[in-house]
Amino acid sequence: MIIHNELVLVIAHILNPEHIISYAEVVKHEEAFWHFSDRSAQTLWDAVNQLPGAANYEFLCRAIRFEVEPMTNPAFVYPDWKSNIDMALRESNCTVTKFFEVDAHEQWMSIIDRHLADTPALQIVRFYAVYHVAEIVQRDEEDCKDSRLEIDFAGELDIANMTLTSAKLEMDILRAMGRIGHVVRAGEISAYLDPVGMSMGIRTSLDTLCTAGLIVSQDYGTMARFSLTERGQQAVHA
Amino acid sequence: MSGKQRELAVITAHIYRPGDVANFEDMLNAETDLWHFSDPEASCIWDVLVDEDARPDVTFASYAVHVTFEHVTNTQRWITDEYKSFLHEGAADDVANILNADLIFGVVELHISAVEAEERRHNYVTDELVEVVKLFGLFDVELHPRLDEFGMQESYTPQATFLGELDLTRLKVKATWLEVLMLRVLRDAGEIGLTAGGIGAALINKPDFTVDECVEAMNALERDQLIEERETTGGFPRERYVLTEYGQKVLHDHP
Repeated sequence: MIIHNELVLVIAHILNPEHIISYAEVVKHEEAFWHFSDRSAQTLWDAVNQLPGAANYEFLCRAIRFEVEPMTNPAFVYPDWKSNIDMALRESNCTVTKFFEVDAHEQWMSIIDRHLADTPALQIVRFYAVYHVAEIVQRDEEDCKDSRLEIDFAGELDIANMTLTSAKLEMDILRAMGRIGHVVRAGEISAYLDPVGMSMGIRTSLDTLCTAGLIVSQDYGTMARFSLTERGQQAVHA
Repeated sequence: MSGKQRELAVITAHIYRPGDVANFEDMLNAETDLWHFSDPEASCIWDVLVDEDARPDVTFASYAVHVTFEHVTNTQRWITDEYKSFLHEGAADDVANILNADLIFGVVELHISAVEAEERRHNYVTDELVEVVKLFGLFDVELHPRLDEFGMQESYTPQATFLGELDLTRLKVKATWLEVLMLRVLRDAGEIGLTAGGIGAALINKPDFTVDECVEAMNALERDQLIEERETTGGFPRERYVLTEYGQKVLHDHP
């Protein structure tokens, strides 16, 4: 089983009761992906009422119009970095509404409600939905390979608390320095982590670690050497 | 009006090597984009291109990386109450306004090294070189007031700082609304904590949640180590739940 994390950008347009909408807008958006707070409303026409003597309509309940955009998966070069979700959506022959409506009703609404609880006047809520995508490969009795996807909503991406790959690299460097010895050359760290050779990523991370006070650089002739500071050692042990 | 916000962008890096051919018009359009050249003498795209006489094609004389930004989306509220990203505000058009841009090229180099190492590991013999690298980049964007000729504030210049590449294998998700409510209840209970039933009772005045939803939320909080069980010994031993340090931090982020 192979598991990927994929992102879907969700844009929710909030239209509260008594919001006025023109006839042209109703027609334009009638086929859009809608969620209505009044569960008896099935279509946009059920959720609006024509104003007397005018071509405009007003909303009778809270309505949310979703725009959904599956994001790229950088790990998949072919075809064109499309994500599993994007491919599944295209191959399923179903509309975006059908594909995501259960998640929208059961999962996305609580996220939107929380945003609205924080800021009731919001007219648009945007968030990245994180999906766990499991690619399950099975063999049938004739040993033919068959694979299927399981796509599960995990939650709203926490953009304030994100793990970065460079942070992982920095941690790998600290650990490598802890294992190799007290004072090490950049090349030794590079060889330990990546036999390919010194890369710019490692050089940049060494600079970052120096700036953060986790390692110190000592110039022994032409070859810079690095050692862990007390804080760096604490980070390694942590 | 000032502030800082975090934005996510898909970064695409096109890698050109000596001898690679490109379209002259494309290069003209990309002239002011973000470029990295291995030749330290090169300061712009025209320093690494040769054979301009052979238009519409031009040839690269040395290694170069061309970076563009796609799907730049701001999911936080922008200071102007709109969801404009730094790209729309022009920071990415002005490469001088992206701090730490060198780190982007560092990450791109790491991706290329990783692909090459993987091919060596599998003993692939291929002439195919990495041409494009894609990654999710994280930015902090700050607005700096821009003054007109009379010293009056005219508008704002956004300045973006590239923080690094998003690690897609370790994505963190926000606590749901119900989970945040539970965390608040446990915060109010303090060190003594609450039993599962106590948490349910404290949520009685909140919008309707089913028992299943509450159980699912508690399991998620415990799995993600935002709350932990603490066994009490007074009277009937009962499991009580308290906030962990990480739970307190999450609650601090979502007051």
